[in-house]
Amino acid sequence: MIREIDILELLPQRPPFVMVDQLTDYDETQSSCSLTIRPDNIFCEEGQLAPAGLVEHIAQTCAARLGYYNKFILKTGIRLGFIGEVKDLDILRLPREGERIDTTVTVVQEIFDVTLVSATVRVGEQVIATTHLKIAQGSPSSQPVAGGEKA
Amino acid sequence: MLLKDNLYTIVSQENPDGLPAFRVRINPEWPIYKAHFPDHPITPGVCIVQMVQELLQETLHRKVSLIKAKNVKYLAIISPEEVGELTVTFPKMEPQPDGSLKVQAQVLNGDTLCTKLSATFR
Repeated sequence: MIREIDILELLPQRPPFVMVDQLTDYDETQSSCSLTIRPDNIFCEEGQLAPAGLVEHIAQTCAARLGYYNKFILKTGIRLGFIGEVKDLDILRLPREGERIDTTVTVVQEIFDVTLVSATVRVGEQVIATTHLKIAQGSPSSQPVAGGEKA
Repeated sequence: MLLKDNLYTIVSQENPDGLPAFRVRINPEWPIYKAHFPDHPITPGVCIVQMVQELLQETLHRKVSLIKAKNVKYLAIISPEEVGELTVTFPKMEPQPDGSLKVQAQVLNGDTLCTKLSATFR
């Protein structure tokens, strides 16, 4: 468990396009985020989080991990990130309104600014989705960044 | 419908060879562009997946939801400041014995392939 950090300090995204509530775990190779599905979530449809919202939540779990790394370890700024590829996505069921999902991403490979992760989404102990994601980081954004290139 | 008439509007729909092809117009005023990202509006990749799902629903006249994706490849960024209309084609639509539908979809900006998707919907 890591100390509670305002998620907006770690992400370049802003409400209403924020799909993680909290970074719950961080280390170099594995990180986790939680999200409770609320009815006002823009991807909430008929009481469920749509597949696109689920994938965005996984991508933002990667973004929060990278945000933590950039901010607290490299001490640079938050950088924009983009999904390069979604691979072998398997959705067993969609999370429902009121449910809390916990997602763990494990770094498979990191080459310069591209990170390949495997991800598992759970409700309690139940796995509801798995996937691989390729995330590309943009150049350090002009604001609110002070600092420079990744060391 | 989450994104239709918000992020995009359908300009036209054709079905050459029984495979649907759509022209859609991107709405640069969509409020989410201010959140993704402030001062750097870029169409979220997952919204392309959602748009493909919604266009499939238009074609099939029923609800479908993504259950598997072999891959979704993002090859070019879709900037609302630079992109007016997009073409969305479905080169492959194969009903499966379990009732699901295997689909290939492509999103093009002019001649530029922006997104390529190979997935299963149910």
